[in-house]
Amino acid sequence: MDALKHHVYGFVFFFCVFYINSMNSNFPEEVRQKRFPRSSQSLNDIFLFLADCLSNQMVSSDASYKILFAVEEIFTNIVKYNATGTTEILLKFSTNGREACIQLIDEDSPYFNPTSRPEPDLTKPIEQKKPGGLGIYLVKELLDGFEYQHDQRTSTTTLRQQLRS
Amino acid sequence: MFKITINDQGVVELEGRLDASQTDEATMVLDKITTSVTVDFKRLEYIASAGLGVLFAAQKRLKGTGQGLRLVNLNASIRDIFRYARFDMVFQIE
Repeated sequence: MDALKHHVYGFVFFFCVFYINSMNSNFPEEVRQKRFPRSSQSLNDIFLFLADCLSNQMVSSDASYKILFAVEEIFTNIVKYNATGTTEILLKFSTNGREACIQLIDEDSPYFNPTSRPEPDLTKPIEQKKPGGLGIYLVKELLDGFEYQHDQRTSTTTLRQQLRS
Repeated sequence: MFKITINDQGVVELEGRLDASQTDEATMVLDKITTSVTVDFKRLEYIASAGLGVLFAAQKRLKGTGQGLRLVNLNASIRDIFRYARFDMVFQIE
């Protein structure tokens, strides 16, 4: 009888572990990707791609805005600072239903780490301020995650954002 | 799509998405402004940092002559962007 109890308890234990694990991953990972020409004229197509990726998700308008803002900023930086790169820019979107992870991958890029750029001095009076330099700072402030990796000639910028922030 | 117009009352109206590919159109209109004006964001869905730069350049030029832009009807997300950029100290925002 004790042996039977052990089996039943064991079964219940493993069932609970399985159930809890399945609850934690109840959103299957969704991954989509597309390549875009290295031009600011690609922005409209990028917005359409992202809007399509986000359309299946429960995403707040605030989170959606942050994602579009950050992707545009990183993409236009790649276009501006690596205009002579020969490849199209690969945009990868993945989500588990709670968080979006967007990667911008430039496969013909020198090392250029946007996350290490110095922060602008926002306290200066308007006469001393110059236009520009705000974009990367805002990406850092707005998003939940912002990372950069460079390997061989491939740079990967990764952005993370909770979908219901 | 982005549109910038000046209405009969002299209010600058922004519409759509002011991203990095649309800044030339915005600059062309804002460069013509020489006195204080209201800029209505009511129909502007999105502004990128490139758009902030265009507005900032116009404001800096106008402030040099004692004039300025007054920004109205910003949506919540755009208002947040202005606040993070400390542009609430640069513009009159209502």
